[in-house]
Amino acid sequence: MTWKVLLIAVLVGISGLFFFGLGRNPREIPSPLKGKTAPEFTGPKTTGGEFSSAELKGKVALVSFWATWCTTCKADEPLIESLGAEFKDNPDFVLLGIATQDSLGKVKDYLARGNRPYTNLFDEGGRLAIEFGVYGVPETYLIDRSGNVVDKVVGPVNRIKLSQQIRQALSTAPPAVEKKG
Amino acid sequence: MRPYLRIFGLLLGLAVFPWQAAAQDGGAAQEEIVVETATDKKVREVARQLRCAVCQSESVADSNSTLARNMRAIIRERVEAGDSEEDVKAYFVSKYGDYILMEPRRTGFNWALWLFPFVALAIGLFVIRAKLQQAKHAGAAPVEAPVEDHTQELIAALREPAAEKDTETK
Repeated sequence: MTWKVLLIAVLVGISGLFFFGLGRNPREIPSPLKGKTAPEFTGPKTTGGEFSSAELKGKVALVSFWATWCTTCKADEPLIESLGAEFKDNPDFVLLGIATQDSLGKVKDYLARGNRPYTNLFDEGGRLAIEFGVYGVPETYLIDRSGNVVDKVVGPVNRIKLSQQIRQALSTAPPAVEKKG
Repeated sequence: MRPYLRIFGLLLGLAVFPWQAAAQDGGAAQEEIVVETATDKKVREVARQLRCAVCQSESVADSNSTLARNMRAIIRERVEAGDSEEDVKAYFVSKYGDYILMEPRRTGFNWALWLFPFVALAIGLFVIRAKLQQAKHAGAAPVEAPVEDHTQELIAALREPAAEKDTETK
């Protein structure tokens, strides 16, 4: 009798795991960066010059990884742009695009046609993407004033949810600056 | 030299040229295969232990995806900078989590993944043993084969005339 109970318990356990698995997106890999400090980086701007993550200090940043060949990125583009437009008057908000797994020529051509009208970096060799744990495009990261990753979105963003998250991140006080001397 | 001989010589040269070029390419390719440094081996070994995040059950060493190629370049850089296998793996785990490892680490909840097949096998063997023992005990006592109702009626009907005959003869 005991083995029957044991068998039923095991079957119920396996079924539970099975249904738990069905509720998850199999393509989504949970990011270990969530809630942790975002990676520090520098990268070439598509317009020339270098961009450093130090420029994001004390600010709320939305970092969007994209590529010219990615059709989902094109669907995501107006949502990201509308968020940029919503917070454009706030000096504490930075919208940053990072073109990855692409060629610089194609990226420059694409941006020259008026697409993604904000600061964009070119990710040579996919190094920035790997620093952020990106495995596909589009992927979007929200970084708060303290430099922590608040959320990572794989695929097109939920504009309403992300807008609320940005508002919330902007409403918090900037981290205290250490005084020297 | 006569013109037809010149043409023949030219054609012969054109025919032989691709073979010569191929032989040279082959020689170069062979050289690439033979010369594998300790760094190459280490890079391949680490890449073999990391999962290509955009592939289906394929390691970074086996995949030709852009992400895998970029990851291999970073592995090489880190190995050349003196990082150990564990250091390189830890770097990728810090970015992608345990998912990036082809084999889950033997820590915490991951033990369940490692032990589950053996536990399932043990339960299976236990159930089979219990069933066999049950059948053995059941086999010791005589068991009457189940007979359906209408079959029993037929048997009774067949027996009845025989019983009547017996009484008549007595």
